[in-house]
Amino acid sequence: MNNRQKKNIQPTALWTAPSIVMLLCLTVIPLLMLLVFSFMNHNIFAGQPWPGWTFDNITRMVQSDTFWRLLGKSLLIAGVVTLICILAAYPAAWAIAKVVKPQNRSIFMMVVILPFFTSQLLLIYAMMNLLQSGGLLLTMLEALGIQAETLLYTNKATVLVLTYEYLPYMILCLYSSLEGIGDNLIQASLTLGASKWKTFTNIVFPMSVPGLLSGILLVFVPVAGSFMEPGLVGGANGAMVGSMIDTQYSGSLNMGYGAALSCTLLIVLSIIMGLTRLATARAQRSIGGDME
Amino acid sequence: MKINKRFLAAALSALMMLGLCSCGGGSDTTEDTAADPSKPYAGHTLYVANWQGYNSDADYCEKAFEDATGCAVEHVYFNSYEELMTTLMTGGNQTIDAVVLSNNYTQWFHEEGLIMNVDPALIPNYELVADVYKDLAPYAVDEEGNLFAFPWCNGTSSIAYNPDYVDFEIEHWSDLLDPRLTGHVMVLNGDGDDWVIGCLLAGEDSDDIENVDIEKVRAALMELKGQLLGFWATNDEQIMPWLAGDFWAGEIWSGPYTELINNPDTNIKLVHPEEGTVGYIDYWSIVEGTDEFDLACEWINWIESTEQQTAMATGVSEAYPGDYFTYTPINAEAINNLTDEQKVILQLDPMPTTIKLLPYIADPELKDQWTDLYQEFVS
Repeated sequence: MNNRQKKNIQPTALWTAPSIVMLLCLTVIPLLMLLVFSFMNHNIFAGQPWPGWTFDNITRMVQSDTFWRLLGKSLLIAGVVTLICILAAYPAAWAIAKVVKPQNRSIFMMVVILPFFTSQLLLIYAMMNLLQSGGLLLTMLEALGIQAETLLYTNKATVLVLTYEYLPYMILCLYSSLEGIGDNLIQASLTLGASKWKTFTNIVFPMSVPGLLSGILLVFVPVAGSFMEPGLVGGANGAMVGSMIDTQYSGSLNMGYGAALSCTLLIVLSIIMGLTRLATARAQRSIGGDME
Repeated sequence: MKINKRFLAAALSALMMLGLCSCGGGSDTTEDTAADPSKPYAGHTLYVANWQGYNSDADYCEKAFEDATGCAVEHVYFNSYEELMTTLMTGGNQTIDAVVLSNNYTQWFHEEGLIMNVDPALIPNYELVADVYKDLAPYAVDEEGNLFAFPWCNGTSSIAYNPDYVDFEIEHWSDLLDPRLTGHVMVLNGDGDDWVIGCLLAGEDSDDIENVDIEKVRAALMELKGQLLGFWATNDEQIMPWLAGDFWAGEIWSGPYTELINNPDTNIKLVHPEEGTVGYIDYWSIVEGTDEFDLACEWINWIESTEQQTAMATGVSEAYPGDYFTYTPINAEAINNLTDEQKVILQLDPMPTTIKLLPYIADPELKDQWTDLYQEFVS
């Protein structure tokens, strides 16, 4: 009897149970709560126990010029940061994966992930110290006879700091893809007469797309929702949509409106990521690769 | 075995007797203390709600009050005023007797019927409150003239400027619009402060925010925005750009001001504009339905006394020594007793003449309008 019961238990299914519970508790339920809160009045946790249902949050959001302007700006900044990260990370990841000797790769990988050992806030403050008037950067430029104004408190500073913070994610993702491309494939392509560019577009790029997509996901999404960096280094016009959402929770205590804004950002980001995936798959097919 | 059982029974009996005796002894002690006219509240417990570590749970305040009155003081800590409101609404008022509230929350709690009107005659030390902090409507006094909140300590965010970079006198908020300051002005990234500054720039009264012309305030804030280097939210965000020479003039908190005035590498001058200084006052109020009303009055009277206010302002208590934070007092005698240096640190030199408190907006629709304005300003 006991043996029969034991046979019915699927150990692999049981092992996934903690992950499923965690996913449910930390992702699915909070997302559902966010959706429900979007249709609730003002501060959910204060005052009257049941604040009531409303469409006002959605109406207010649709009518808010500030929200749409900030959303557009956030997506633009996220796009720029992601693009810079891709351009900077590709050569770095390629060098670590293909140029550096295998026994030295771990040293370079350690250098890439070194900033993760410090808190994000400290990284931002370090960049502020570098960029501010009288900081290292301007002092060095002055020593070279170049008169320049501080980048700090501008949108350029926001892009710079966000790129600095998220570049390692892109390098790691691309490295994992590029490292898996066999050297013999590249060698065969070159031997058969393909140019380096043709080899890149027909072999390297298609095979690196999964890593590239992961990198885009890990950079674009958090950058679009960031609020700390623009607040600290972006100056008077630095705010992004994340700042507006943050205000609803930490300042105005209007959680219903904050949830509506968060849901919209989430939906917009999901659509963009879906379109990116489709576009990449199409581009990959057109150059003869296969995304999967 | 029998011996053991007997021994156990005897031991338990002895323990019970001891317990009973100690209980009896305890009540005798209480009676003795209660009979002591200098300890009129022996056996009573006062429940007070405050932020953890915010002065009233320090020994020189809590323990000193217990020693003086014979009562026990129990602190109930909260993390937000919304949380406190929920606690009181769901029956917390059966245990909490007095609460700390910031001025932009006092009206809300009063209108919800959570805090009560108190005759100022029951708080004799209220007479000692400096005029600038006293009887402030609508934060502490309602339209019928009822007093429901007693000032305790306060803070101001005035204008500071660096004479090394600014070669003219700044006296008013409108001076921040001078083209010579363009790109070097900073203000707090906070809705209440920005509303008040907008009102001051537009010549509107933030104490009557329901009747303010919001479009005039919007125009004033947008003009100010053109002058801004950025917004700050923490001490570091004020000190770093100030020391780097990027932040020349603007709103400043007392903490960074104290640090900068003591820094030999920089220069700073504080101005309390006559039209108004942005400020907040933290109040004590008595919870509606308390069964310790007299003791709560005694507590507020104690906390507003010159002795307590001086200890709070200086962080020094001879009877209860410790390492205490300092806060700006509201008691006129305590303010007068401060040294010149202490007054500078507490932003009381120069003394503000008009304090414009962070406003409370009751109407949700109006609050949304003002929040949208704030969002537009900081975006």
